Amino acid sequence: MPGTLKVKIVAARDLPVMDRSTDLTDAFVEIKMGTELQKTEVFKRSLYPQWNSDWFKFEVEDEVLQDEPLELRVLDHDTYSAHDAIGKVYIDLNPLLVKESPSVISGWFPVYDTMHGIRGDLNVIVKIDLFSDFNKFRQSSCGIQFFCTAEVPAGYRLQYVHGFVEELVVNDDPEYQWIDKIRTPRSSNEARQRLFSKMSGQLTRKIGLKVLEMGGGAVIGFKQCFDLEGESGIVIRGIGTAVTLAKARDPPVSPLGMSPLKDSPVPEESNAPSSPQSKNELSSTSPMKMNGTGTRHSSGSDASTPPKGNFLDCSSGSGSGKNFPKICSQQINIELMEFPLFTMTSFPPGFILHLGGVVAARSVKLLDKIHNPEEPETRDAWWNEIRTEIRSHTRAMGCHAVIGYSEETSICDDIILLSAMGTAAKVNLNLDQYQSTRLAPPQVVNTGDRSNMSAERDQSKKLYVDVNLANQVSHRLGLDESSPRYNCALCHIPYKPSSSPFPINLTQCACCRRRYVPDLLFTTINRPPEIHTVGHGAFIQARVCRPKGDGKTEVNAKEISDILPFMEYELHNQLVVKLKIRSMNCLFGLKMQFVVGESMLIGIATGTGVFLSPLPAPPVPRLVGQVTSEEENVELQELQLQIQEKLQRHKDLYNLNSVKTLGRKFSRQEISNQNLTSGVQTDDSDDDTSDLDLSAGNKDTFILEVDDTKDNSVKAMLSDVLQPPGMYVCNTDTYPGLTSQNLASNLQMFTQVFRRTVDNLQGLNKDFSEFFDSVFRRLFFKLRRMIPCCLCNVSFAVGAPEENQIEIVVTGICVRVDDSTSQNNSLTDNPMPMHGLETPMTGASSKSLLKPVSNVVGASGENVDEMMFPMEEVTEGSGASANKAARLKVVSNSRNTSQVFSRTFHGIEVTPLAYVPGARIERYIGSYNFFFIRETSSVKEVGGVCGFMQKFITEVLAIVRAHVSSLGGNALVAYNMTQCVLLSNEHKNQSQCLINVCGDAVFASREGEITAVVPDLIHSRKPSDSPSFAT
Amino acid sequence: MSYVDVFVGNFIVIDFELYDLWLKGLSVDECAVALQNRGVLQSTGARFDELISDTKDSFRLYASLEQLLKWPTKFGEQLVYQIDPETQKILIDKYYQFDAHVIREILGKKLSTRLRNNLDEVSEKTKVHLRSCCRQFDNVKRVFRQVEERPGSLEKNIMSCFCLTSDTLAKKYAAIVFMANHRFETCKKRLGHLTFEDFLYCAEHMITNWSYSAAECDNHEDMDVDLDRAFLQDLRDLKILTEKQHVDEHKLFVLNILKTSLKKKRHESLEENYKTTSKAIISIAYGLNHSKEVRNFFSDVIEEVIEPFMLSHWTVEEMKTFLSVYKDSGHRLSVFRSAPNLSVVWDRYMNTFIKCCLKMYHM
Repeated sequence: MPGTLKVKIVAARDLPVMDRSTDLTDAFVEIKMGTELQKTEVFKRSLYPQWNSDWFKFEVEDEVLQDEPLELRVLDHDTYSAHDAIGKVYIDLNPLLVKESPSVISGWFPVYDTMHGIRGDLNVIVKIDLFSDFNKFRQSSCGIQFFCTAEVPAGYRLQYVHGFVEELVVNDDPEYQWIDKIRTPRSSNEARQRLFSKMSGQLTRKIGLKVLEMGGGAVIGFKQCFDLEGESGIVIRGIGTAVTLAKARDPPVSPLGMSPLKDSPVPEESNAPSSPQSKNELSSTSPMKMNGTGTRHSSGSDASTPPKGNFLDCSSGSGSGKNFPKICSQQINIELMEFPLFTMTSFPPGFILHLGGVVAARSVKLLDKIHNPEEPETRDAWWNEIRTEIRSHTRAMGCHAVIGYSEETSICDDIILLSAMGTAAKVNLNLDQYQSTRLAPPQVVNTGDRSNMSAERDQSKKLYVDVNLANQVSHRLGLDESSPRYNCALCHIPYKPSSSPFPINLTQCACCRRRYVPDLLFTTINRPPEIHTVGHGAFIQARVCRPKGDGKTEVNAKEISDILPFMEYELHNQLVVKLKIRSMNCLFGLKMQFVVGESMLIGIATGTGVFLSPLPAPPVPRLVGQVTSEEENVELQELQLQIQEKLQRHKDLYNLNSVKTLGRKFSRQEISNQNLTSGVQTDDSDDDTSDLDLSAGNKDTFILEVDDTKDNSVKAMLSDVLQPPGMYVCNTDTYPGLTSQNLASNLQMFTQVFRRTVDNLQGLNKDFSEFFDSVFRRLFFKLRRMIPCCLCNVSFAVGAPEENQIEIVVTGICVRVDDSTSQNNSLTDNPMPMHGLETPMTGASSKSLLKPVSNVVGASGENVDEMMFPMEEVTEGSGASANKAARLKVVSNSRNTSQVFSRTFHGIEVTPLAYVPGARIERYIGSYNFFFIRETSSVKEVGGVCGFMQKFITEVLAIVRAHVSSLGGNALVAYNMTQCVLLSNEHKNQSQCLINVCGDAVFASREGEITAVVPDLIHSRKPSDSPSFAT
Repeated sequence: MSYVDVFVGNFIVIDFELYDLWLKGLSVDECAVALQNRGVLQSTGARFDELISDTKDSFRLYASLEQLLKWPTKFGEQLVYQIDPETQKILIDKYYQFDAHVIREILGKKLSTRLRNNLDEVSEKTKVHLRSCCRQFDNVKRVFRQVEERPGSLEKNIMSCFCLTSDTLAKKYAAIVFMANHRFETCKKRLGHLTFEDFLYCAEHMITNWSYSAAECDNHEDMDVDLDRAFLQDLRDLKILTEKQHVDEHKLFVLNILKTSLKKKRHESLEENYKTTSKAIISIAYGLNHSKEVRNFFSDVIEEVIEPFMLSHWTVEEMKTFLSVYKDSGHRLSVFRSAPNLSVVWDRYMNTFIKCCLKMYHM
């Protein structure tokens, strides 16, 4: 008997009129948990009933608590006929089951009806008294925390990564059962909604069990996908990364602000905050050594094997911590993890050693009836095949892990297309060793290592003071002496140049000149903070749409799998061309989606392009064609000219004019074999674009072959819709080229749904591109008043819902850009942008302003005395910059008020980002995941399908916000609309829509309203309070 | 063309340029053209299609917000739309703004469905879009219904029921409600030259001086939509002034005082008309006791008091002099000495009457 659930129904407001004769309602509430049902009294004749009920108590197994939501149903009492349903409130109880989370859910919840939408609100208080259960064979996994956030949550540090977890739950779809023919749409929808949420609860519980087995405590980067397979049922899949998290002792602050603290002479304490940056600093595997002081570097050492000294520290210093034996065994076993898949997209510094490239696998299957829902073997087998393929690709790249891993499906009739992709990488799982060194007294460290480490510490300290005193100075020095935070090793190829898995142009790393780097790098992850980029990022999208025959089953499946490789190739080509025309050499956050429609196949790929300084500068694309006439020759040259103009425009737009200059700098330093272009590059940069590449050697030229001057690929390359000035667009969490300080506050989270019919399949591709272009124009137009702003995490989901129909769902967030003058100047005047200002996103708060405050917070801890020294250092080192930043803030604020649009109001934020710009996440309260169904049989009356959709999405967001605030949160991060299925029959005046949303509810505090650290006790239950049972 | 095309944000962001056009009752196309002419497309490189789509999207949003705008107190207790207080305030205030010349047309009329159905005539006459006319009519009707039976200050009630932040707007609505409640006749031909502002001015003074909220009234429990019943009854006592002896006495005082300040010609015409004028003023006063007479207040004032003077080309200044002398000399009458209450009533009536009269005295 693991828990007593207590529910109090307080009141309702703004209920609909259910009795026409009196214009009033006799409302009461049914409370259902599992199979048990209780009711409130009937509150007669009121639209604002006040029940103020006693506590309704339910004794529930924790398995049920995890699987099923609390269901509250508001009804209108009717003496003679059946009671009329007003609507329902579903409350997920999982947040109450985690120790650190709030112990009460309380607030107003919208009363939602699948046929009418939101009809008033219900005020409810929910509590759970939990008993600890030590039963070994239990089926529940209470206490495992789930994060949709695909990185280490703010305020935590990664203690240990256990690996990939997945689960899959299968059931029949009520919509396709015989009973659906005789029941009302409402009860059918409700049955479906209930089933979905129950399945999702089961899935989470089962994954939790797996995590427990692995010895983990949380899942990050958790993703749930719903496959609506129609006749053959529903499949809910979940993937995530099992980890052990530890609370960071201090509130998360930006690494830069905290770093002097860490380098204080008292390592035990100074390391405690364990800001990710410090790990990097102390890491002896850190390539910083290669950069900073080459002499100390032994070139032969493989960074993936941890140095012995540290390794020993870890075990000896750890004492009796029960996690440590595992860690040690794991350190030996990294290779035995057999190519782990990590669903995270951002990683703590030091985690990634080398990035290989994107790996993907796809397969087309025919759906069949799932005979045994308890053992969904076929589906499991399908995914295992795909994952095996991914792993083999990874091995071919010489990597041992996949990061930024994701899976998705596309279903059309009986065809299912399964895809998976990720980034092959070499990683370092033993992050915790850096934290454990602090547990070990310095004396234990063997002498050799120790001298090394202290030397390093000294050096890093010195560097940090440098950085703090004068950012610009240190950056003007150029790459070779840049701060040790940048690490070019991430870009080095993980395989041997001689055994590259595919033909690839390798050049020497432009930073260290020791290793080889590819000429292009595609990844599915967010930009790691250690990689140095130049200029701004660019949103890059490739789209392919191909008509498809109307074959059935096997024929169809065969056709699809035959076309797929070609589409993939074309997408890749487009991406490459679009990158080059922007003078960029790397893609982050690459997402690919392939969709099977009835009459077409769609593929889109989106990513954020950047220029990585370790990689070679991309050459100007040069057109080569079969010229048969003078006329064509002229056209070709015109095109070439256009390309060059475009290139220059892009360079201006993305601040990449310094790229060539950089190249020259290096070539002067070390003129070596590969520099065929150096002769040209010593010219003034103005000349760069003119005839540089025509004279350059083959190796550095990017040749585009055109069969026809009216070639679409060239046209498409030139015709991308560009964002208006002052607006930045990317699909990653942060914008390359803007610091977290620049991203001042959320302005608007948006969801756009477009659907249109394609008229002729002939001009499909052109039409298709035009469709996307208009989507962009709409977006830019709609958000024009928010400039200066940055559209982050812009994600596209395409669909082909019916024949000749294309649907695009775009979500993203518009963040206010605080483009303080210094930033602008440095970006335009200074050949080296102020990248030192950039902070890794884990400490997404604004550093300089927080700095003084964070110190105070730190000092309020136990060791005030020991803190004194570092504090002084901070004031010396950062005082100037903090003041400056404060001044800039004032300037920019006064400027912003003159803008047409400015927002000071903070409601409940909903954001697809893992952080809240301008605020600091204080605590995570629980993840939210719900499936909404909305149907109407009066489409015209609600303003057509558009009105229906607009209303529905608005309502979904309203319900999400209500749940966040009832948990005591003020934001939902890592928000994702994983599913949006619209079925519409305008002749019957009917529409139905399914939406699945998920995210992590958090409490974030804003700058200026920083409160003291909230003790965990206030908002969490103490497990010791409740009696324990060992059954 | 695309058949689903929606944009939904977590926060409600209103483009007030567009909102104003929507309030004006423009259709999506008219609106888009208007915006295009203002050059909104130039900065972003968007096309007309996108403008139309954005406009449609916003119009849908406004239409769904309209349910809340009709009962603005609901903004506070709804969770569907996340709107910041500032935007909310502007939304409401703008929604309740009206065109004076549209309201002039429905002023004092019974706010019936029939009148609403005939708004197309108003729209034609005022050149305001029908939809906007309907909104203004509906607003007035809703405000009227909401405060008609509510005790307390009309203005304050309107402000609180409709979350209005501007008291000038609330005052205007109070006047409109007052006019509608008494169904003042405003449409007769001879009232045609009077503007909404004229009526507004008169109504405001009537509310402050003649209704239950007036300072002279000691029973404040009732609503100030109604005229103070006790006052109206007291007005009956003024009838005594129409008796010959008092009229003559009053006339003597008035003419004596005015001998110096009025031109001779004026003085003569006044001497001629004095009796009818005085009678009219006083009969209007005691007529206020009957709701039918109240209704005709404005036309009576115009017809019986103002027009005769207009015909003899009196200026507003002259009129003012006359009326104030007329009022002041009243106190010297012997009747007033015997009935002290009478002089209070006389002042309360005459002060407002003079103000109304002068306001309506258009040359």
